Amino acid sequence: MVSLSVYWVTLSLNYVLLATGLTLTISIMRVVNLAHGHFYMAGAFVFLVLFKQAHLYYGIAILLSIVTVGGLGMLIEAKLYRPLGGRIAPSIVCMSGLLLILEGIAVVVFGPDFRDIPPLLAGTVNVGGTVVGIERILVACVALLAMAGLFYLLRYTKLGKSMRATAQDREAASLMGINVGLVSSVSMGIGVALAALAGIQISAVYYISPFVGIGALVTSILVITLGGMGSVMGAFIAAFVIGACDSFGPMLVGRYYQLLGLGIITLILLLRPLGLLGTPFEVSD
Amino acid sequence: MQLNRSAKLVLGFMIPALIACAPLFLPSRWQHILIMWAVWTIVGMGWLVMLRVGEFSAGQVVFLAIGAYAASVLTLYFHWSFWSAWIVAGVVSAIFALAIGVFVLRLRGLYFLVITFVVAEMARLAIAATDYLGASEGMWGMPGPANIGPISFSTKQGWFYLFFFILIIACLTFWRVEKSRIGRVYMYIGTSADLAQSFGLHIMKYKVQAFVLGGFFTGLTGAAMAHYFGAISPEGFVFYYSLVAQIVAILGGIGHLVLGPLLGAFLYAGVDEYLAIIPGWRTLLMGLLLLIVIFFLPSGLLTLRGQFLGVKERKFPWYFLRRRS
Repeated sequence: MVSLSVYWVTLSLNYVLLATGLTLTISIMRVVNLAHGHFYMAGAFVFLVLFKQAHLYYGIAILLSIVTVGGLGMLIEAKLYRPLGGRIAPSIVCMSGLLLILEGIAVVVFGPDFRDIPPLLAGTVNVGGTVVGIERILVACVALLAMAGLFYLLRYTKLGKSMRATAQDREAASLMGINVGLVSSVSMGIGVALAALAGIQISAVYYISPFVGIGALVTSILVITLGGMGSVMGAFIAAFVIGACDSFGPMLVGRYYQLLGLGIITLILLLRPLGLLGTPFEVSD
Repeated sequence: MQLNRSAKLVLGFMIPALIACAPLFLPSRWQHILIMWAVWTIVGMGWLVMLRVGEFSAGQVVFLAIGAYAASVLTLYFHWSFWSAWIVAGVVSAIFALAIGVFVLRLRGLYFLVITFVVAEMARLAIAATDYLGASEGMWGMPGPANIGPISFSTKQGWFYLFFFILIIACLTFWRVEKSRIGRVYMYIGTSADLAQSFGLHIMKYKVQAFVLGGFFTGLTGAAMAHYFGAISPEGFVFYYSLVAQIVAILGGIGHLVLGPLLGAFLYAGVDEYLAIIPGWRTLLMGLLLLIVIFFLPSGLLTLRGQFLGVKERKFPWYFLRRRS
């Protein structure tokens, strides 16, 4: 039971990273970034290359992967998404195309097999009577650190304020003198980088393959739909709910545990169509 | 080329008649390509009709899956005849579309996109978890239809005519929709749902109707496909195939509900035959194709001639609706 709870916490923190990243990209793009799961996958593969082929130090490889994928996200926002002028259908199609390209590159370059990454700190520790890998604790700490950093950024820095303003009302923000283009790119970059971090972490404790993108996207969509599309705090809570479904689910409902999350969301959407902490102006028509 | 009415009628009969003779002189491989052409046209039209009403469906593949599995269960486990199972599978798909549509189409914003995506993926996972449906290995050995007179279903010939038949019916249906008042209503709703509603149009009725229409034909196609291939598995209904519906419609041209997917599916089916053996490259190339089309020819190949002549895309503003910030 304890080990299951540890699993729950680490899984949920991973989902928090994923979902917060998606929330950030949605706040800029106004459409669901269908390629989000594939950035998760890309982050892990970039890390794989940097760590295994280029033999960089673990921490440096992580930072560099995140920066690379984040930079890619910024480029995509500036060069691919913005020229589309905010038009809905072309944006979604553009992201679908990106999804296919990322998956195609991964399959062509790395092959369709599963891969994993040797943990940084092997070994186990005793927590409340069960044995827990140190790696998981490290992963959880990194995730918490990232979320704390993001929270600080959004709440207490000027950039964070600009990001929130741009998400709220793009035109008004530009009237206030905010460089909306730059802020959009940065938001997208951070969102995508969070997904990449989540991917790196998962590959450290489990495995990764070029095909995990869709599953990650489903999870992040479930989380943000449950938590409300604009809300970071909502994503945090919802991530733990969905994490509970995915960790305790197999024990309760066997192989249909994934449907549990869908069931919960259906229920919540019937009662609170905007999600738990959603706000009306975020992605409405 | 401007064709007068009689020329259009003649072509409208001649071309299908020509295609109907195909099995007599085309090699088997080309018959397969034409069959896949029919399949993707229908799935593409199902997606495009939703785009018309202003909703982006990211889960069209779920109807293929439901049609396929429903029909397979009926023929394999309950020993129904192919034809009854086929029709029932289409109806089941339509009912599924009804159930999902009634619940999701009333929500504003991008919920339809997100939920169709999640539902399609969840359905696939649920199927993969159910032993009765063959779990990950899938189902196989579904008995096909018996031979009808000289048309044999043990070769591709019978299947060709079946898919061709579904294609004709679907194209006629969607053509009628496109040209009639219903098609115009769809466009009004897609352009501005609020405005349409203020004119007294019942949005939900038309959106659900469009969704069910697409779902029905896609379900029929899925059922036929299951028995044509003889085996199905969850792997055959991954998200990529929902994207193929988009590729097919956008490549061909979103301007025309029937001709667009027809053209796009023809190109896709032809290319896919050679790309299917290199799945990684196929995915990559299709992604690039989507990006190229969306950036350089957003309304598809059908508008290529118009673009040469300098005709601006005025026809479908809803496709190019900007989001209010």
